[in-house]
Amino acid sequence: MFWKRAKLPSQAVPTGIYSELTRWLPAERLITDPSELRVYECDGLPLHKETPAAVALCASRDEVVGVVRWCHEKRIPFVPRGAGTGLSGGATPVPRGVVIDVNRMRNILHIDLENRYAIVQPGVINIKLTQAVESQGYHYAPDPSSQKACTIGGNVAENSGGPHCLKYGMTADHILGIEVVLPDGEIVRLGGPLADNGSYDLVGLFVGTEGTFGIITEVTVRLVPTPQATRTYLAIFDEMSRACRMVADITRQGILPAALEILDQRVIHAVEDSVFKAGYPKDAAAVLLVEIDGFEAGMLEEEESIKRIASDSHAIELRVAKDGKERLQLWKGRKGAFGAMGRIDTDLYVLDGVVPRTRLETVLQEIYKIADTHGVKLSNVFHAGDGNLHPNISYDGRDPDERARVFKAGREILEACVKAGGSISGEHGIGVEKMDFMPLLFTKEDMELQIDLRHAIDPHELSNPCKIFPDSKGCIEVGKRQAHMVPL
Amino acid sequence: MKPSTSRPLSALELAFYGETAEVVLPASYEELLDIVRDAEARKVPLVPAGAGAHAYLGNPPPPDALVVSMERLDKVLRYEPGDFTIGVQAGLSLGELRKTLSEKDQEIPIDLPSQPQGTVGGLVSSAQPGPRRGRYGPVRYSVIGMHAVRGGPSYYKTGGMVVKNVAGYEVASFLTGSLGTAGILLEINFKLRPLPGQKAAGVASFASAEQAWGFARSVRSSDIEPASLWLFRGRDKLHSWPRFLSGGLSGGETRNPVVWTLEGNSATVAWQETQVDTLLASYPSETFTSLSAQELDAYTERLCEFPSPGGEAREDLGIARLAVLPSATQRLMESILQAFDDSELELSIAADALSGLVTVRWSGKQELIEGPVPILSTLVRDAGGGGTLLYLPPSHRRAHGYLLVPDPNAAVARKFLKALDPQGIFSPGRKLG
Repeated sequence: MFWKRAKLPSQAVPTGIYSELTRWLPAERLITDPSELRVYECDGLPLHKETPAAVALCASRDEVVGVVRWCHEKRIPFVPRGAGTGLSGGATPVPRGVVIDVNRMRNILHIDLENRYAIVQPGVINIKLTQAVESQGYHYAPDPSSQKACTIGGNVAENSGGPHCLKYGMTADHILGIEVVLPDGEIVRLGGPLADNGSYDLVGLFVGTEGTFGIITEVTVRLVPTPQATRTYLAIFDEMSRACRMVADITRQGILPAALEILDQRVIHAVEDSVFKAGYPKDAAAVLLVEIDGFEAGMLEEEESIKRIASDSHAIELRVAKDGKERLQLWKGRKGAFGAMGRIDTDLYVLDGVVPRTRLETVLQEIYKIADTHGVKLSNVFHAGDGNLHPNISYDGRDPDERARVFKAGREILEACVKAGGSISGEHGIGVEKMDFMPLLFTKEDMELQIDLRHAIDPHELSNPCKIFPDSKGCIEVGKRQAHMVPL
Repeated sequence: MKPSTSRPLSALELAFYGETAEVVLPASYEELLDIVRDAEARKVPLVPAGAGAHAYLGNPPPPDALVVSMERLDKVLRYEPGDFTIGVQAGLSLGELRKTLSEKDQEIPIDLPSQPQGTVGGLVSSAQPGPRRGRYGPVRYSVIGMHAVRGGPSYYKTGGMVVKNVAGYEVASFLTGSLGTAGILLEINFKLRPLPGQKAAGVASFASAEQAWGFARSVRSSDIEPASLWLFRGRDKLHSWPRFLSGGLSGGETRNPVVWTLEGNSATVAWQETQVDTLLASYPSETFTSLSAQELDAYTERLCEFPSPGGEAREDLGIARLAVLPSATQRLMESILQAFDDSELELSIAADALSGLVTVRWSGKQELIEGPVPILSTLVRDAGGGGTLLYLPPSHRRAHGYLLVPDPNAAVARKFLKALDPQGIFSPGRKLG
């Protein structure tokens, strides 16, 4: 075997699964009915579906521990699940596995504004954390587009990003501590609100492990003061390359905006024809949403810089949001862009490549060329400020020929990102969706190291197995997955 | 490239590793793998090193350890100023790193002395927090990728060269601050920041510690975003502060000093300075001085040097860093001063009001030098914190662990260490004992 991997046990679902699990949680929170299980067969990536053996809707750490220990004892794989908004299949069930859903663990347990941290359960919805502290001048900075639905636990598992992580950093920079139920049922509390107590940075290692190191049952997050002032601009371009050049110039000049987001014309059309209409001009080749924040006193100087750079970049127009309402309007279009693309076709393949910011323009040109070559409907909406692209390909999933072309184009796009010095995932995670692309980025030795670390915690690969690292053997669901997709 | 394949032990290596320690300097990754392979076969402990500047950190290695210095692997591999990223070999000197970045008005936001000792690998594997830790976070926030050697041996990559990347596990986080116990760093990639457009700093002295902390808390809870905010008490004879501080630390003019630094564009710095003035009206200081650029540089230099013994293995010095919540920093500082009120040792304390890190230095007779260790351990544990014993003389070092409060997750960490170093040869026990 190329990879040292534990094999999933091949026995059938244990009889009596229902009665055994109800030792730890009430019957009404254990789902085994096939029609109800279908709700959990995928997350935000409907391309990969699997029906679990059961879903445990846990409302407490003790319930999570009970279910995990049972799974460990029986060698039953389990998959942690938050809101199921992930886009890489991180919460896709595995055959004969149990989904452990933590959405009912949704309390904010402690807020300490003097020391700028809060302790929350994993099911707390991202935006609700900010809403809990914003009246006192604080917020939780990571803001994925799904923040109205996604959970803190899921954010930690995926090391989620969002438009404002350009200035404020990814989720990993905002997690001070986590309580984790390890795959053998042991509870560990890693880190905490203290800075640098000299221990190993286990929190930094655990964040972004996509549920493969166990289930998070509590999170200590860093809170940051809300900036005094915010200014939001919409720069409008008749060429995408000019929008990219504005981004490169802003970066080169050392300006650190809170956000820099680009939408191309196809996305603009989709947004403006949808409920997320934001007033973007439909004849624009691209729009760049620029947001700066900080001290009111410093806004003028930064604004002058933005205006100058926009002019130098040949922006047709630079609109300024006059008030909070206009700001929200501009953001509404950006945050609703993915939803709006449902107008283009029935299915959407969302890519998540990253490139150095200085390579944005050339890589985008390549991406559009790839799309033309394969005859696919490509649109781009992305976090230009940190080089995190979201080339989105709309297609009809019922058409096998189109599907095949879409996936070929997707692979070539990610190859182009890696060739430019980038990565295959900026914020959505690897999950199931990008497993086969990992060799684009990592050698056998690179991945062996990571798998060995995973085995140090989970030698039986029970916690979210068959995710992240590719394998041609050992994962029972690989054969099924290949039946859904054209092999890459 | 340096001509020899070995070098003399640094003064600190000599003191902490012993006369019989040998230093080898591989010139290539393949040569390094050969060294590791041989060490695993012969079960010889390896101590990854750079210039030997951090040899005093952590539990000392076994006496037969081989020091592997990365100094010959010292190139800047990839520097993209337009992308604000840089990738360097671990042996690059910190001075060369700073020079390279400052030519493009960029920095990693970790302050260094004007003549920094040590290498980039040492910076990352020790991950010592600097003066602006409270504002810019720990060292790992700046690390975006690494190449390293694990047991086996083999080398591997983690992360990449882009500022946003979630492909694979964040192994770099575990390696950062690992003191060479998790393998040998080969290359480190960083994300950078522009050098601040404008800087300003000031020092105010207060009649009482209560007033000083009241002022510091008011700064912290205001709209001001200081780049750093430190309070100082006491004085140890081995460390000289700039004049504007040294008077106060010995009970002279500037008592209970608070020093703040501000960064940003000219308008934001000016605005924050007016806010500081407003707060000082509520917490009247005995003296208040704005620092000139030279004074700020001198202050930063001394603050960078405060947690280290310098290049010598002194027998009359001890240093510890304690970590508590920022709201608990005052109480901890006062309890430390109280505990040492009658001590013959000279004590000085620097407290980072933004991060809750309190660095304590003490100096005096050698026979007394160990005394503070259990006291500080108890005090910080009672305060709900943790910390590290940064320095004790070599003659006393082995009697005390690196961590002042045992790590409750040591067992978890050891599992990962075992995966990275199955033979247990990389600086065994240096962090956990």
